[in-house]
Amino acid sequence: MNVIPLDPEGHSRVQALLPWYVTGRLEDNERVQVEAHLAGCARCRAELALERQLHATQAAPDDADAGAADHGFARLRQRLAKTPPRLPWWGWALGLQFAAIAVLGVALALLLARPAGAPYRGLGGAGTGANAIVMFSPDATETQIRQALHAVDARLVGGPTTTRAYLLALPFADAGMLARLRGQPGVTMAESLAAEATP
Amino acid sequence: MSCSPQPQPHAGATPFDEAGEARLVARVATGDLPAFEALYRLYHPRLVRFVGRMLRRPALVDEVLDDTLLVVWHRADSYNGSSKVATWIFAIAYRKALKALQRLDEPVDDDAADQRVEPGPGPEQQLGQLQLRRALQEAMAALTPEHRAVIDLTYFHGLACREIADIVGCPVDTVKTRMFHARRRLRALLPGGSEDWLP
Repeated sequence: MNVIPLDPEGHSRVQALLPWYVTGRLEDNERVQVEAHLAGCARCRAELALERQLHATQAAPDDADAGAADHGFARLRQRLAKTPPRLPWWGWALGLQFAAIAVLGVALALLLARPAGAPYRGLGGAGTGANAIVMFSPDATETQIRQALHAVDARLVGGPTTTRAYLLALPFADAGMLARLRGQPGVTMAESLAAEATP
Repeated sequence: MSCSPQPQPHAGATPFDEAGEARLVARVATGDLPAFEALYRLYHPRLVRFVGRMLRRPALVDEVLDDTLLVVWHRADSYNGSSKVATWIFAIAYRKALKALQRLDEPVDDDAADQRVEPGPGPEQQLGQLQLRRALQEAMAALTPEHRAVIDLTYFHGLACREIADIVGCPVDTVKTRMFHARRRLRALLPGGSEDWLP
């Protein structure tokens, strides 16, 4: 930055302010200061006359082109059409909110569509096809269990439960079928789930 | 130096006062295209003049003008009202113009030029008005873009020193220094303006 050297009489300071004195853009205190100096300084008054000449040459307007703004705006609109729409800050905020909602929605949909892994299910749980419950002795072998199921044409559909019971789908969970099941080696209990629901 | 926010000599053609311009910008921030067009038409002649004087390359003016107003369109929400709308927009244009010149490898910010002595024509040269105007244009062309910007913002756009400092992003004293040296070169062309004006 270049610093204008100060002079005791203040000519430099006044002359530096002359452009804005001519255009009327000085603060009141500066204007008063300039006018006070000009009143007693012929040299700066001469500078003011030159300053007015210079201002007149530079302040002259250019030849106006009435259609320039029309053409210019049409040109700019073409550029605007090629750029993505501008969003204000709240637009971005709304967009982020919608994006968050979409993510949550997808997550919820995936959760609902997920195959039932090992959900807690009561003994009367619907949709499993279970109609009987069976318990085996702790020392029952796998062969015994398989033979017991085969004997009543049962299908294992769940378990073990917290009480180490298994859910079975029997062709008919009637008394005869249950009695037959209870008679199999290793079976300690066999009951109908339908009967369980009956008080 | 502090400068008062007085009416601008060349802002009289605008149908909007300062508050009206600020409201236009607020509407532009919401994506209001008619408001943007109104703002565009309001500033088009002023920006064409300013950018044209600063660049002195007609082929670049439209590009810089469009770049400037695209920023206005996209970043209107960043205008916080701490300065005049004109100051905000001219500052964008100033930066865009300097960037355009840098792409052309045009020398900018030649503060060393402030120290050089401008020989200028002798007092014997009594130029006619047309010749004077041409000579001043040539003298303006010899100035740096930063000096031309200060000249045009002061004389034609009628801006105060503080406003110009905000636009070009430098201290008020630097604006005065640039103005001082630019005037010294230009005034040397004026009849009776060749003698040393410093005490």
